[in-house]
Order: sequence, then structure tokens, then C-alpha cells
Amino acid sequence: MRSPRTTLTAAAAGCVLLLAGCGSGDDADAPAESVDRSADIEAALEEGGDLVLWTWSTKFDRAVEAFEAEHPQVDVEIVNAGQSADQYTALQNAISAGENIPDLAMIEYFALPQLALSEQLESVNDWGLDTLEEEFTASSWSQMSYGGGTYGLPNNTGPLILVYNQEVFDSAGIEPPTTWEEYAEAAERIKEDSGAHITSIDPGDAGGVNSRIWQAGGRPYQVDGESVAIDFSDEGTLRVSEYWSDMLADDLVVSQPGWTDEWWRGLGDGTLATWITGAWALGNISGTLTDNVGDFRIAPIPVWDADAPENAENGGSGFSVIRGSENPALAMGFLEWFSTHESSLEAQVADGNFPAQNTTLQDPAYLDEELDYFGGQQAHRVLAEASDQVAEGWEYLPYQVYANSVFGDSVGPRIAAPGPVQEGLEEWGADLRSYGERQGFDVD
Amino acid sequence: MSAVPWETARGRPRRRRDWTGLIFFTPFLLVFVMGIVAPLVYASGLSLYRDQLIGGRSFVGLGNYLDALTDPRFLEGVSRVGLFLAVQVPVMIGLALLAALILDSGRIRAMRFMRIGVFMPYAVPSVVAALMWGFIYGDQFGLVGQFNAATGAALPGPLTPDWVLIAIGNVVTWQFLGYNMLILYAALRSIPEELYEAAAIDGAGEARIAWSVKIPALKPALWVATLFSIIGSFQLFNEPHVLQSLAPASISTYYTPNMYAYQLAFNANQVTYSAAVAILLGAVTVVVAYVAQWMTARGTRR
Amino acid sequence: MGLMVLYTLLPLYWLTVNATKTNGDLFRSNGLWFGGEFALWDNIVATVTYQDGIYLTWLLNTALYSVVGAVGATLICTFGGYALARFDFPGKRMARAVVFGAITIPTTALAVPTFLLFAELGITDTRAAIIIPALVSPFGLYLMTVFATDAIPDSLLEAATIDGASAWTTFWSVAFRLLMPGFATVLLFNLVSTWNNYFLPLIMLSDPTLYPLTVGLHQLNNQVTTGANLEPVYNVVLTGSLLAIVPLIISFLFLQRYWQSGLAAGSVKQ
Repeated sequence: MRSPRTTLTAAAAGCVLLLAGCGSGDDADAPAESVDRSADIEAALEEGGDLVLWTWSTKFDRAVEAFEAEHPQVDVEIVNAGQSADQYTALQNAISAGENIPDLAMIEYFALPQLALSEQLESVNDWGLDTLEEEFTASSWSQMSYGGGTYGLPNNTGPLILVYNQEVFDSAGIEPPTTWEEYAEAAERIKEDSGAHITSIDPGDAGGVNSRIWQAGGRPYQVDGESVAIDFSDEGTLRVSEYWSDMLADDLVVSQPGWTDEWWRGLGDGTLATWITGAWALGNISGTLTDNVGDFRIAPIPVWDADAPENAENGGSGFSVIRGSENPALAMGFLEWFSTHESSLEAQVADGNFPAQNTTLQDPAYLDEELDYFGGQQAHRVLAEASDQVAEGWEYLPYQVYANSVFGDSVGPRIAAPGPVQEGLEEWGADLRSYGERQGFDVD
Repeated sequence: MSAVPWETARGRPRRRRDWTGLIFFTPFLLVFVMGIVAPLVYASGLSLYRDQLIGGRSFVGLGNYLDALTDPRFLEGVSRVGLFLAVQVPVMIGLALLAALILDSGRIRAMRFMRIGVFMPYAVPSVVAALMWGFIYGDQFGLVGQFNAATGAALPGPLTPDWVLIAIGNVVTWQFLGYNMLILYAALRSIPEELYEAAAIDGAGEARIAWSVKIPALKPALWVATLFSIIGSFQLFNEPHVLQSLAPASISTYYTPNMYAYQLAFNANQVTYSAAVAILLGAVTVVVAYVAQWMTARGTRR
Repeated sequence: MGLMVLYTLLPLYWLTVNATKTNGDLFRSNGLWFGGEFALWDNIVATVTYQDGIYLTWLLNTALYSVVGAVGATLICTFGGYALARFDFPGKRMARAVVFGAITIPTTALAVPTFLLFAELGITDTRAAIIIPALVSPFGLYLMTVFATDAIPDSLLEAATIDGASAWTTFWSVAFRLLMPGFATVLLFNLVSTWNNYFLPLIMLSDPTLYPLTVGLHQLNNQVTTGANLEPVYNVVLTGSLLAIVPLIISFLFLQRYWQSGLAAGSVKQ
């Protein structure tokens, strides 16, 4: 029953020799009504055991320690099986080989539909954990859900924010821009003043562009069961592609892969004046540019329409129990505690996580905290507000992991050697459509 | 190709055919089957199927191969490594030959140091080499950037689309220059003294000796070096894979055939198609290697 | 020639210098000269203690894969080469043709097929998945055949046979000793190729405690470049890279006379 019958990659390899065992039956989809197995969870937690948790982030070590302190009979091992796509590959490989399958893994929202579709994740509905919905932001909950099930619990989100260099702004005599129009003007002022670029665009980062399209009201991916529609020509998408094509053409922003040695240096010395990023970035910047205490501030992301501000999410992830876990009840028990218990959330926030949990987002102590690194700013308030304004209705493709991996092939060159970004998006769309057809989806 | 070793074993009729040799050969046979034959057979079988996220697996016969032969990404990758080997291999072998000739002439100081120094990068894993050069290539703060800033020059960024293949070629050349130099140097050392003496009697100068005595005698060694460089070119993966995070817009997911096979199998859920691509790539390499060998053999005979 | 040495050594010099810098200095100072602080020792400590000493695990894994893989492969090649050069046995001609033909098959083109097979057998993500493919070395077999043809005079073997020694005893008492230089050469080749192996372990392994250095370092570097970590570990990546090179360089210097003579034999005896 719990044997991984994924049709993905090498798992399918097994089918050649074991045709009889493959593709038969829909048993896993059978329980239409959620069965409450919370009693199993209680029992498993009492009995204890070992769990393996895959994550590449170091923000969760202390929360896991807190769990173990409270449940001495449970041992949780954190394993770093690679970053993002690498981890999903490793996960697929482990499941197909039937060996070293982790009990839990951190799953980014964009990857969730693909992993849920290929039946790599346990639904929390089967374990009565869907009652926790109210604990999380609506957007994060919907991003952990796919086709009527919820495949894990949300953990962190990435509503867009603007990190900016106070000194560069002061020197150019500008305030943080509130609309994208003002942002373009600010870019010109900064260029004149210090020659700095207002920001960089990563030609390999699909997530960054997706979130900008989302914020502008574009909804290029529509999914309904096995039918998908991909359209990069809606109004929101066009707005984004034109805006950034112009910014690139005017040399107001620079194309540069993010997170590299070079890029951090640019951010640190002010040659990049701002960073458009997700709310999770606070921990990354304060942990990396340790010499820049007090240099940066957080502002709300500029909006398209000042009267109806809308935000979007860049990144964010939850934790899921993996199909093939030897002790799913215990894993669910851990998941619930880790995702909702006060001491766990405190530890995560202290390590720089931006939570998807409403309790923390509404906690005055969290909101009022003055962050030294950001010049004593109550930066969490900006984040929480950003989280409130996330627009609804965004969907990822059930093969978004693939989609993101080929972003650099088609859109990347149009960012790197400025050309019409829209042209790149169209080409990306064509690739995604033909891929979808080849994979058996109904593509519109 | 006169003294092919296994042929010397022939013509010794006193040797009986028996099973002793087979026993010695068995371990190799076992690992050969397990490590090369079985994977190829299994992958060939797989390559006749197609996987879909929706619909699972179905038999498509040679469909994957037909797709691959018209797949612009696969073809682009193959022609890119073709270009790479047409340029990088001659440059590297030429430099290695030059270095070997200089070493052999015995005219420089600190020979030992030079020899080891040039050979050293061979000990550097290609992943480490690519990481290191990746830092150096940075056009803002890397060595290239610092050079530009210090001299006011405007060297192009090595990781920009136009230059990245050359940047990769440089990493590969850096790694294998010394290795090829040593192969050629070793071959030079084993040229019989009489040949030189004959040339000296004829009154040939240093350059002339190099051209008409040394280089012809080096043919077999040059061939070994070239063959391995050709195979290496087709295998190109580590360097572009590592540099990709620094140059996502310059190095696509199908930049080399091997990267494409990797992408297909591990990001695109197309394992069976990937198997077909890997097998085709192996076939192309074998054919090119044999064509190169045939051309060399013909050239030697003439 | 001087230029060539400069070309080959400059990057290594760069790596060495930058492995002595703190993260802060890495971002600030000139790439070709030392930074404000000499932090090599601190960096080494940081490297070997990073994530509970995962670097040492990777180092040990690499050593294990290389030693077992390379010594095993070389022994197997020695047996095989000896057989091809010194014996006549049924199927020899065909075996020879197939095996030497396999020299031109690129090992990385084999990686995906091997992964697929091993996934079917359920042995991906194990040490065996790295070691078994490393045991096959058609080029090593070719070299050993060359050596065995040249290095062992028939008369010696005949003498041993007349003394009534078994083939097995003869091999160890007579042939193996004569094959030592060839053995060392092939061993070095295999050592380098397993030490540098990247593609195969990259796709075969998901458990980081099984990684060799190459995969581990690249993952670490990716993490730096994608910012998943709170603390940047450029210093760990650089120092780790430097430490990864040292063992091979040392073994090269020690085994110099072997590989130099071995290379000569391997390349001219075509």
C-alpha cells in the first residue's frame, strides 16, 4: 500500500522488468474522506523512534533540538541532501530505489504540485492534521494543497519586500519608492549620483520573475487536473516584461547571477542599491554581510497600483511526510509539533525564519522587535504587512521543477544580453507547452 | 601500429590453448559485464520506452532515437563539443608538444621543477579546478575584474555567452596540459640515440631535428594523447556543470550532450529518453575515435 | 616554458593565498596577496569541523573509493593483462576486441545507464554503487597487456613451469614483481580517475555521508551561491578545495619515478 508507485524517473525503470507490479490500482487515492488517525500519532510519539528529516537550510536545527528535548524517546536526524532541485532529484532517486527514504523533507511551494502528483508525499488529511488550516496564512496553506489534498504543513513564506541601502538612498536624496514608477525614477537618481545600479536580475532565477508576474496580476499557469494552460501574454505578465526590459536596456539594472561571491560584494559595497526579495531574506543578509550592520533597511515592495496594493510570494516552503516513510505516524507527530508548537516557532524565528504561522505573525513581541542589523527598524512589521497583501489565485505547474530548471535556457539570455524579456518568456512558454504534451497533459 | 602487443603473442605456437588464462581473465570479465555491458544492455532496453507523468510507460520502439536525431538541443550540444574538440584539442596538444620539446632539448634550468609544475594541475579534481577558475573569472571582483580595474583594460567577462566556451576550454587545457606534455616527453626520451646521430651527421640543426626526427617518432604518443582528449571532449560535463551557477544565461541545460542527458534524467522525468541520448553519445564518440584512428593510420602509411 | 609554469601554478597560488583569508578579507582584499589576517589554521579548523565534521567524512569516503576502486581495478587489470599477453584461451580474440573497443566508450556516457541499472537492483546510494563501476578500466587492461608482453621474458616463465610451479604461484613469484612499474602506473591512473570522479557519485548518491569530496564540495559551493545557509562558507569551500588537492600531489611526488617510466612505456608501445 505504501510502496512508492511513482511514474517518475527511475522508479519507472523497475516497470520494464516488473510490468505486473506497475501502474495497477488506485489504492492510494481510495480514502476519499479523511480518516482521523490522530490516535495513531499520539501512540507513535509515546513509543518513540528515529526520524530522518531532509533540509538544506540551517534555520531549523534548534527547533529540532527543542522537539527532541521534549520527546526524548524520538531521535530526529537532519540530513542535507542538496539544495532545492538537487534535493528533489535525490528524493526521487531514493524513492525509486526504495532505500534511504527520508521520513520528512522540506518542500518548496513551487515543487509541491509535482511531488504530490507523482505521489511522493503523504496527505495530512489522512491523519487529521487538516484541522490545523487556521493556524497558517491562507496563501501558504493553499500552496501546500494540490488536487483536493494537503501534502504537508506550511513553514515559511516569502512575501516580496525591498531591502535597500540607506546610505546610497541618502546620498541620492531619495526615499524608498512605493510604486514601480517611483522605483524607476529612483534608479535614475541613484545612477546619476553614484553610478550604482538599483538592483540586479538573476538570469537563472525563475522564482524571482514568477513572483513579479504574480504581483502584477499575471497568472500564466492554470491547472485543472490533467489539463494545464500556459500563457505568458496576459496583461500582468506583459507589464512585468516591458518594465524590466526597459530597465535593462537603460542600464538601470544589471543582469547578474544572485548569491555568488561577486553579487554579495556588490550588495555589501552599495554598487547594488536594493534587493527585491522574499521576507526570508533578512536572516541571509544579516548572516552573510556581517560587516554591514546598520546599512540596510526594509521597505514594502513597490506596487503597480498605489490604491490597490498587491503582493506576491517569492519562495517559501513547507515540510511534508514522504511516502515510504517507515513510521508515518511518528513523522506526522513531529510535523505537527514542529509546525505549531510555541517553542519550535520561537526557535525558528530566532534563527531568521519568516513564519507562515498566524500566531507568530500577530504576536506583538515579534512585531515590535527592533532589529539592530537594520538600524533598529521594526522590520518584522513590514514583513507581516507584506504577508497580508499577498494576492490570491496563483498556481504553479505540476512540473514547475522542470520549468524552473530551463528558465535560464530561454529567458536567461534575454536578461543577460538585454533583449526583449517577453520574447524569452514566449519561448519558455513554448518549451513548457511541448514538455507538458510530451508528459501526457492536456495542454491549452 | 606495427607492434600491437596482442599480435606479438601470436606466432608462438608452443603455447597451448587452455583455461589457465581464462581464469586470470575472469575477474576483469566479471567487472566488465557488471560495469559496462549490463548497464548498456539494460539502458538499451529502457530506451525503447517512453515515460509520462500522466499515463506512465509505453513502448515506442526506436522513437526516442528518432527524436534525439532531430532534437535541436541534442544536436546543438554535439556540435558544440565538436567545435570544442576541433579547437581546444589541437591547442592543448600543440602546447604540450612545445613544452615537451623544450624539456627534451635540455636547454632550460630547473627542469625538474618545470616538469612537476606544469604537471601539477593534473592532480586537481576537475570540480575543484572549475570552482577555482570560477572565482578567478569573476569580472567584478575576481582576478579578471581586478586586472581590469588596475590597468584600465576592458577584458571581456569570461563567463559571458560569447566567451564561456573558451573559458571552459581554458580550464580543461590547464588541467591536462602537463599530462599530455609528460606523455610526449616520455616518448621523446625513448627515441633511439642512433636517429639523432644520423641527423647530426647530416648537419641538421635543433629545429630541423625536432621537425624531421622527433615529431615523426612521436606519432604513436601523439595519437594516444589525441584519442584521450577527443573522448574527454565528448564527456564534457564537470566544468560547465560547476560553472553553470555562475553563468546561468551562458550555459544552458543542454550545453553539452552529457549535461543534456543529466537534465533529462534528473530534472525532466525523461529517463528513457536520457538513456537513448547517452547511448547515442557513446556511439558518436566511438565513431569519431575510430575515424580519427583510421585517418592517422592512413597518414602514417603514406 | 616559464610562462607555462606561471600559467599552471598561478591558479594554485591563488587558491593557497585565498585559503588563508577570513570571509571578510575574501570580499575586501586583493586576490593575489594575503589579506589582513592569516587565517589558514582557523579555516582548516572551520573546514574539518563544519557540520559535525562532514568534510572529514567526505575525505575518508574519497580515500575509500579511491583506494578500494583503484587498487582493485589495477589488480584486476594486472590479472587480465597477464592473461591476454601470456596465455591463449578460448574466446580470447573476441574478449580482446570487445574490451579494447570499450576504451573509447566515455565513462560519463555510461553513468546514466549504470544509474538506471543500479536503481533497478536497488543499490543506488550505497558505497558499492561507486566502487563497482570504478573497478572497470579497459585502458588499464590495455596498458597492463603492453607491460606484460614486454616485461616478462618467456624464458623465466618456462623455467618456472618446468620447476612444476602452478600458474598461480608463477604469477606471484615471477610475473608480478616484473610488472611492478606497470602496476604503479596503472594504479596512478586509476587513483586519479576515482579521486576525481564526480558525475557518477553525483547521480548515484543522495546520502551526504556517502559523498566523496568532489560532490560534497560542489554541494557546499552551491549552498554558498544560493544562500541557503545563514553563515557564508566561502572559506570552507576554498580551504576544502586546497585540502582535497594535497593528498594527490603528495602521492604524485612520491611515485614520480614510477609514473614517468610507466608513461613512457604506455605511450610508445603502440
